[in-house]
Amino acid sequence: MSTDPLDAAAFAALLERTAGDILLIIDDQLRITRAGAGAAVLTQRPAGELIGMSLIAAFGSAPLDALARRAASERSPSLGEADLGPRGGRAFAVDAVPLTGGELVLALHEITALRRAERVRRDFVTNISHELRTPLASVKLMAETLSAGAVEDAATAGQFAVQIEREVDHLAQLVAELLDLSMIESGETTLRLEPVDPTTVIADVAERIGPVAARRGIAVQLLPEPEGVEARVSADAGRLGQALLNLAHNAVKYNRPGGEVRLGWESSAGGVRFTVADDGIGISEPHQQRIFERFYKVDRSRAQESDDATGGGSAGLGLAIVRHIAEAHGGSVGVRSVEREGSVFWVELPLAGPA
Amino acid sequence: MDRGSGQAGVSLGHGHERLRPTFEQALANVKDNVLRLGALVERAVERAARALVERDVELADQVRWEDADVNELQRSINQEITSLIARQGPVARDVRELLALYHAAAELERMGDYATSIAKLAQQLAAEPEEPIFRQIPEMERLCRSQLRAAMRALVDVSEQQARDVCAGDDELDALYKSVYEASIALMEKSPDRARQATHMLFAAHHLERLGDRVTNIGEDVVFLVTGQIEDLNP
Repeated sequence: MSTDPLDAAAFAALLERTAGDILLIIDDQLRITRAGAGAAVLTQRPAGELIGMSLIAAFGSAPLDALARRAASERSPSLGEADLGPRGGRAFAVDAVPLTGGELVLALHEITALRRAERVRRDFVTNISHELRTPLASVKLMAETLSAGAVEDAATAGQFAVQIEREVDHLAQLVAELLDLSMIESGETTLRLEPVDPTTVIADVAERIGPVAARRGIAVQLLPEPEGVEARVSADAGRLGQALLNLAHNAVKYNRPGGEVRLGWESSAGGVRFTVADDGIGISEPHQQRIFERFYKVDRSRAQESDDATGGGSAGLGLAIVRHIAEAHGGSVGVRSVEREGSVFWVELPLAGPA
Repeated sequence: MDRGSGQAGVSLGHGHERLRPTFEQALANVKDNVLRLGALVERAVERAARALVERDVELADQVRWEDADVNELQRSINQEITSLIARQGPVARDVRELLALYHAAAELERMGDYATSIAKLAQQLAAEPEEPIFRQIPEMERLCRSQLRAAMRALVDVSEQQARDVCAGDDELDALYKSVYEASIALMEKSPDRARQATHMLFAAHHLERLGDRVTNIGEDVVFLVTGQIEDLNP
């Protein structure tokens, strides 16, 4: 680097201290002449091996290579992005700046976390617009039909009124769930923690889900409490009840006709594990990992049928709320499921400390 | 590292000192272009499979358009190699390296075509009622790409061992393909109205399986480059 304005030692020091970013110097043939810390990990090669290697050989990335070539041929700075690392699993913003001697400085700034956040936000907006638009569209359609003359027909008008009410209920529930979720997520809800008797919580949930289950011909069973265990969990009874009720609702909704919902609790390594089991359709392995995400639905069409049967359902936020409630308690959630046999959802909460 | 800088190079007579580095440089350029081709194909495979899973018609369209870059680059590699052989008359290891690169580029170009076919299937599937993509397909895509990366690395390092390891991974891909085959038949039997989706997915898996075979061929090219032996590593 004859035209390098910095001396070698100073430059080496600069390469090492660019907080988190990876710096590379490449020559006019796009061969690496210097590589900063992090390049070795990213390419899975010892740093010494990288020197003299071409950019494409070292990183195997078409966008990175194209960006560097553009900066080299146009002799002007170039900006872009590239997925690098093993299996291209890490996203980087790349700055290529030509030096006077024909070389290029490449600065790689990792944006993997930013990308993930963007994806979550994008999915959220897509989902929420879909969830809002669908009921709005049916309400509008029915209102139009009514004003076009259907209002004269008492039977149709009555039927439409019931449907409009159901759609509006669905929207209202969606808005309520959204507010709930955003409050829990932002940490604005303060939990009123107190020692809670797990048996009382479970019995309360069973009582509240009873009528819904009965309407669908689903039996609700309370599992016997563990013998000789006097456990108290540290919980906000209202929030915990809400979480378990959400699980119980799903257990009814996705059950087979004549199936059963079993509610119970047991001692576990983390404290107390509340379980909600059903005899439903089950959830396949890949879905199990994502089911606690906002708006994640295993099968939209199936959920829709069940919604109609139970008279309105959740918008895919229920399990996300359950997860957030559990996590706000310092607990966790999970599911075990066998397809066509059923699922067991659980919420695990820590025990209350000695009073 | 075994880089094989070509001891038994071209016979260049008097100009040896001056011309030798030029040939080395040209060879290195060709190799970089083959690696570029590999990187383009890897990206195309990833994007085609993503378009399939996410029903992203526009992304699939981009993949189809960008196949022209792959074809163009392969043509220019062919030209460079042909001209190098004609002008410099390389022998022994150098000619082996050029032949291996020539063949690898041809394989990569075909792999680009498979990615394009998957992108077309993505567009056809997006026109049908939604049916979840068999989970084995993204798995096959990840496996294909990691094998392709490994093959490109074997080429960079001129490593016989790495090349043999690439070929060994192909069995897993074959097993996944068989499992997609079974799943497709099962879906057609259960829901005859989903026969189109099942067939499209089966074809996508078939293309991925073929992609894997082509990666194996590149592994064989690397083995040929190192040993001079032509071996069938995927019998």
